[in-house]
Amino acid sequence: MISVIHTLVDEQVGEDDDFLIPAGGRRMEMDWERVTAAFQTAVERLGWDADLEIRPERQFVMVRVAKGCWSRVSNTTSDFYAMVEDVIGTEQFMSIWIDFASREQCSTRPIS
Amino acid sequence: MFDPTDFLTVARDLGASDRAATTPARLRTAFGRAYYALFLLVREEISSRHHIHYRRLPHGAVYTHLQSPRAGQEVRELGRELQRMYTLRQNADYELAPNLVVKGQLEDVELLGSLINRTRKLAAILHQLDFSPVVPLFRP
Repeated sequence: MISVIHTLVDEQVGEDDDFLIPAGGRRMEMDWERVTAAFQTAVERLGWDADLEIRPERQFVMVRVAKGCWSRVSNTTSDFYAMVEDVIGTEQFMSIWIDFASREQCSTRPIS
Repeated sequence: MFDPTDFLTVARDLGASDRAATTPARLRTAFGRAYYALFLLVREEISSRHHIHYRRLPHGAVYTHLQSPRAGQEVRELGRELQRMYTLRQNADYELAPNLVVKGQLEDVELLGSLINRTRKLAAILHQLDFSPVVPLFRP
């Protein structure tokens, strides 16, 4: 099952807030419904058992992988990246920090 | 000559040990070794193929230039992975009280195993990658 968690609207990120962006990207506006759909589609097509935690204000996507699915994830990460990039565009893709963690250790605390 | 992939073997051994009392320290060390395996392999590949001195290939420059728009998709992906692993390594080495998300990652044996597998895959294709578009970025 895939769950998509959007950051609460009232969780504001100020101009001076520090957060991770890939070196090839920048802080930018993007269509997060489209981004979310692209990540979700890629997860489904690759058969990953994983949840997506999406935080638009931080341009951050955490992929939370179920126990037993890590091998598939590490074997198809390149396909995953390519599928998302093809849909949302290179500049947008390079501006999103994508990270991975086990689903069982899921935290509800906001990224700081 | 030392083979950096040996660091991956060490990282896997550290992750597989069942001495619970030292688990956090071992896992933190393992994340660091996994990063250094990939970084050293990439640095050696660029240095030897394009005759660029190691001094011009520091951590930040490598993961940044590999993500340049002039780089091909596979090279940019390599740069992204290097930066992600570098960030994990920084947290592993310096953050004594990381936030819960980072703490979870640094204690995540499955994540470590995945990174080791991913690093082995990236290492296997390094010789096929075209670094030439970003090589000028490393020159004075």
